[in-house]
Amino acid sequence: MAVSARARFGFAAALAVLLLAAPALPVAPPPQGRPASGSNGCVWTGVGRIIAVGDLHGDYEAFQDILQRVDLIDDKLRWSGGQTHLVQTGDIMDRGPEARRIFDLIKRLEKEARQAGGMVHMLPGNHEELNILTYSKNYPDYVTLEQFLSFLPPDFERGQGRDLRGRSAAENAKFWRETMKDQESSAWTRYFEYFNEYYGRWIAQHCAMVKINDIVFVHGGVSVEDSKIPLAEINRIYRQELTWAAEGQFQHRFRMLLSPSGPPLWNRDLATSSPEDYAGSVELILANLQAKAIVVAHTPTVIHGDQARFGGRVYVIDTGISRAYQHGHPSALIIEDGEFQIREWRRDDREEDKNPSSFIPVRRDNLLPGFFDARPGNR
Amino acid sequence: MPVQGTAEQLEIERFLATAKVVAPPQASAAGRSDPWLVTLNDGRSTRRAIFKYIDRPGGPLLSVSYKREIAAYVLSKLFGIDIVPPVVERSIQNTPGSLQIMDEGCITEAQRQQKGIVPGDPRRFENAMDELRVFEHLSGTERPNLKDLLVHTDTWKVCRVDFSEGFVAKPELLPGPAVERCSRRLFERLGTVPDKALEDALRPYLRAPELEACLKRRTILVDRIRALIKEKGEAAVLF
Repeated sequence: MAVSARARFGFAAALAVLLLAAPALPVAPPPQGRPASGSNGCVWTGVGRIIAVGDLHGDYEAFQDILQRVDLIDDKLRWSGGQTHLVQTGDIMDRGPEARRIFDLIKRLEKEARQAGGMVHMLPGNHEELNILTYSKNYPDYVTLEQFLSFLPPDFERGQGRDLRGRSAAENAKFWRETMKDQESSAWTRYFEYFNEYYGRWIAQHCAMVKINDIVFVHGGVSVEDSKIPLAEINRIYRQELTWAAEGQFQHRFRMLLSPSGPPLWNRDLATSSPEDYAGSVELILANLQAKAIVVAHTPTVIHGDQARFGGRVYVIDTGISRAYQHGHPSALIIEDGEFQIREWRRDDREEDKNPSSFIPVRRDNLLPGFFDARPGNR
Repeated sequence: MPVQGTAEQLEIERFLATAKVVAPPQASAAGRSDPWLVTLNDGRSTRRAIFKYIDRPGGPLLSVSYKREIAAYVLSKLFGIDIVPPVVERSIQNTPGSLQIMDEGCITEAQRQQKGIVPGDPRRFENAMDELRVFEHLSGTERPNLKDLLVHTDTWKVCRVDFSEGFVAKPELLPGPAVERCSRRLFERLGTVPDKALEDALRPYLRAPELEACLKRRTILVDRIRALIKEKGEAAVLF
């Protein structure tokens, strides 16, 4: 159909009038800081404010509370952190009930933060790795009943639910707990299939290590050996291998996942080695990474004010935030204009909040640096 | 051929098997094998032990089994070398697993190197490390880091822990440092312990391909050491 020049002009004029008359659309500010080219979003410079939060282990309430206390979300749980970069250093899963809810919140905040010029960096932890690999079922203290049910496909749970009609909640819980004990059950297969399809593959696409303003963030730590590998290469390997694992492609050669030599999601050297023995290694690691500090989690350090190590070159931010840790407490590391500040809060003293039944209590939650360094069988 | 141990080993085995667990097991700052730290008391003494329970010998990516800790100990006893701290099979809190005595009077080889501690008896230390290397090849257990080597700085005895990812089902020696020397005692036992004795001792803890591979590695090791003796002379290889 031919369109006359007059008609075309009329349409353009009408469109212009409409655009001029329309209320101004919000324009997203450019993200604060710049991602380094070729780093695939894992290296950033020029970021004014960074907030890092450690292991959450299924404690959605604690996470929400922290984000509100540091003004990253408002009372409607919308991103209010502007151009701040939030780094969550992994281990959202296991020991507690609401990992899925945390993932869903982070998925939304990633978009909202980006629109506001900020960023959310969610790093995988060793518990995400274990779930992607389908190995978490081997650990009786890891997957809670609530987490298990939350990642079962709705049709599977409904199918099982038909058999459970008329039973009490307690009977249902008993049924599922018994099901979980059978590591070969089809329920575990469906749990991992569903988890990997909707969450595992998404987690796999995240950076395992990020560097922001010369500060490296990683879940566990970095050995001297691994610090020689360029950051972009480590992240490429992790993305590739976690994706293979999430897709069940185990025929490939895995180099980093479950490497026996203390890979970044498992390493504890920076958190547990004694300063006199390991200070030289820390300097080497930082030099190799071209960083001035490194922030790790993974190793609970529940003593208030004990997060800085090696003269402030290393921060250990797993303070046992989840209520699975009876003696832990919520915290966040705030880095603003190069200044590091740990903010910690005492947990509510209500007895029921200390270790609710939906959490699996951790067998030891007052680890001290170096305590197990010389002990056998520590891998 | 029943597997014998020294009197001290047998005493520790008895302690591990029968002593009462006197404190709730604690998780250690550990990793994939998630070991628990267990405190035991038999009415005479209190000692600590490491409990492992993961048994996933056929994992698609990483094969792990607590039973291999026991296999390594049995193997070391069978070959008459005191290289693995005593470990027994035991259930704790209704969970079957391996319970290994914690070797308290030692440092890790990683610590020794970091602190720059020079062995007071270099020859003994070197011999212990060489014998250990033969054992790692035999058991098909790689050495991922130096924290799994426990060094007694008073005697320069060396022990190895963490075999749960070992006993690979590959009938070949490990990559990395090759065997260059061996104790006469171990070499003699490598050549004389019957296959059946090995099979009987290890069958409860290993799967058939793992056991088969271990037997083949034993043969390869004997051939390798014989070839070394032929090439370099006995004095350069055996101690």
